[in-house]
Amino acid sequence: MNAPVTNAPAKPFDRPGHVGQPLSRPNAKRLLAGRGRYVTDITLPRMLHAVFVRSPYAHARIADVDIAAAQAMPGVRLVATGADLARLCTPWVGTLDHFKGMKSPPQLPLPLERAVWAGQAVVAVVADTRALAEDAAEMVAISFEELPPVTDLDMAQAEGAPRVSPELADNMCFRAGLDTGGVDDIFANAAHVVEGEFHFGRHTGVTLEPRAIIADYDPSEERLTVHHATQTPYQFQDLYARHYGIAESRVRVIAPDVGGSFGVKLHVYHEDMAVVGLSMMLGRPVKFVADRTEAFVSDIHARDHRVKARAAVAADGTILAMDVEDETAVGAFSTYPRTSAVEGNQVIRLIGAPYTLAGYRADLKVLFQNKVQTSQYRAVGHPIACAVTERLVDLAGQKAGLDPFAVRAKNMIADDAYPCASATGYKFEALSHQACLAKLHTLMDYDRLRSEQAEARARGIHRGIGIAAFVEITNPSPAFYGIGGARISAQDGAIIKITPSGEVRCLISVTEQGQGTETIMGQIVADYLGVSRDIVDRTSGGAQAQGQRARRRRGHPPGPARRAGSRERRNRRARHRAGAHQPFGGGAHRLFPLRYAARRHQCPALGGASLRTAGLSLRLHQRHSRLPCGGGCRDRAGEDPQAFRGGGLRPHHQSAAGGRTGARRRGAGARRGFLRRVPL
Amino acid sequence: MSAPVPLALTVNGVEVARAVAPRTTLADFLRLDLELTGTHTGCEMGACGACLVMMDGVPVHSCLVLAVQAEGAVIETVEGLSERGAIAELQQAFHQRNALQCGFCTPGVLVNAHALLEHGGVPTREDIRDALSGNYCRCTGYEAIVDAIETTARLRAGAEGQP
Repeated sequence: MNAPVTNAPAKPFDRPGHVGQPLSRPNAKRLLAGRGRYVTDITLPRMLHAVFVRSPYAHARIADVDIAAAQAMPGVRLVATGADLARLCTPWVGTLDHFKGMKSPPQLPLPLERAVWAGQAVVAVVADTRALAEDAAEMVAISFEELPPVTDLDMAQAEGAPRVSPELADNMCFRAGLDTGGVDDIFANAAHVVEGEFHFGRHTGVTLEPRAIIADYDPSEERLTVHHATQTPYQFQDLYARHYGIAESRVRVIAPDVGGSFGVKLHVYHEDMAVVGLSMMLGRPVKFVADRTEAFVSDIHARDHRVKARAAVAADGTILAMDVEDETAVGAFSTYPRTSAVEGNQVIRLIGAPYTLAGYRADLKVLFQNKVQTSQYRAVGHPIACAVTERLVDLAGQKAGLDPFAVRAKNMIADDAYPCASATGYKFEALSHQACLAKLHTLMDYDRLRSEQAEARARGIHRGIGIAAFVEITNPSPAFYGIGGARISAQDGAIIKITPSGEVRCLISVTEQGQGTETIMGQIVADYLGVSRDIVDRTSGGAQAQGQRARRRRGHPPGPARRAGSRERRNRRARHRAGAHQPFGGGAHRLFPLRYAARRHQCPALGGASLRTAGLSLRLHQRHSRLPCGGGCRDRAGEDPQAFRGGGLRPHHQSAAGGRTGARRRGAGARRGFLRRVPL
Repeated sequence: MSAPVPLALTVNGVEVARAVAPRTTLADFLRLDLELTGTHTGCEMGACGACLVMMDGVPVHSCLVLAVQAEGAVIETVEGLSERGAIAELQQAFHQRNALQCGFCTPGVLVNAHALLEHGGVPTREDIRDALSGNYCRCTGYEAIVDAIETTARLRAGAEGQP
């Protein structure tokens, strides 16, 4: 039995420790030595390679598929169509329950009748090597009959427009609105109205390691092991188990080193689902690695938005209200399981967030079109909301004759106004926009820059200075998607084991792509237990934790001891571990369920909602919360091309992060709320 | 597909003889045949720099070199440079400055930085950025990478390294 977890405040750390120290990442040494182990590096015995034949059309009926010639090619083990995989895999639908009225057609690994974007995988070829599979893929003959595609926002909404999904009434995936009331009156009486129309082109993540997966199905035990370059192994454990009808306890997903993710690697991709089915059909490991060209036409895209926005402004520069229409064009269906509607939803809720507004109204339309699916990518919706807001604020300042700093200082939520809510309903605990703005003014030496700008202008050089404020949503908790029925973070947690030799093993469900997750967990655990972090062995990637449990159930010793020690000690430890100890508790093995809630390492929040957790008897508690971080940044784009070249993606940039982040959540306790002592 | 052809070359100080398909890239040969997976393939079109290796003392994109073109060549990968200590200072500086995140671009960056520092002297930050212009770091850690390379150059030149 697990002791109940209390909500009593944690005691302050009682010894000097690691938290707060600028420590290096222990796992970085491995990567620096070329000893990283990414999915692309992994080769399993008898492993086969999958490639996909893709649609060259944005919208086409699949009239006929001829695979005979491909099947006869050297090294080919399987050529599979949509119908083959549909016999194994149940369809999925990318909607969330709390998005009322949202609709999306069912999806399968490979399509049965229609291809709905250029680049969609239609036929899978599995062969002994990637090269042989590519050779055979060229021999697959697919007869397509082209259908009219929907290619932009206007076409999607036009009278009599072709429908992306015949089974749906129209091309509207989701529509939502916000209205505080009284907005028309505010605009009618305002001294100034400023407005703009903003177009945002599609982005994609371009992780340096492309998407990669190895599915390894063992029919003798009906057990699926997936080596997956993903951010969310537990999510995929759930999805593979459910859609392929395998017991969840027999599905293991391992996320080893991941070469960049940025949100790209947490969505369901058709090829990934297909690879699981291909492995089940063959009873052998099957690997798929998207090449760069495939990544561009199959990784999620994001930020395809057209925003019309206006602001009502008083004569003194006070911004009174904003009125926003956001239209976003997603793919041919909504992405699973996070959907393609969250980005737009966050755009309309984050616009105006740093400022006090008396009125706010927004209309969001999420529309289908025949392009690659879109979903959450780096800072979901934030850049769009920030760009629109700050442009309106700049225009408001110009109308009122205020300097960009002055108009922001005038309209920002005051540092002493918290806790409060934004006009769009976000609850803010303790931000510090005014302090940020003042610090930024000093840091960038604004007055000097202004005078330099004027001098340069006199010489015919035009230099811009941009100021932007933003609120970042952090740590939305498992409830963010869980409330809509998606079991994404439902098994997030950490397990600590203290070994007989006095070492500590910390198994954490979340993954690391270089953000320092393992280092941070090591700091916290070491301090809380009062040990050196050198004896805390951290393993991320979720499925590893599961693997430990699985090995112990089978009575095998875990892998070789990683820490140096005498042979005898290692042997003793192995004997001990291999013994008859129950997985949870007993002997010297005590597992400490810990609450853990750090999606972003600075913003912990803990508390009271129980999770939808199947399979674990631990009662974890986590408080629903959104803890925004405030910040301000300025980008100075001027005559310094070097600043753009070496940095590649980031112009000369300086930022002042909002000092008071989620550490102050509802009184004492949450500050050090990562860990709580749990009675044994 | 053409029949395999014989290939002999030196990789990380070891003489290697294999039969390879003529279409095999040097990157695939190193990664798949020799299991030197420290060399990464990010784009396979010479844009990202993750596959850089030293070939006869010059950094090359191993994804753009056919294995058969390396006949008789001396190849060094990040594993070889690492094991003979040639990049120990760079690795130390990268670690201290946390000049990597996901680490996927890192071997290519180290190979390129090694080639740059082999010229001797202390390159300017501009020179370092220019040398790295063919290395993509999608986690965008360039500032720290330039710092680490500059620190190593100063250290080697006997000057005081900057943090």
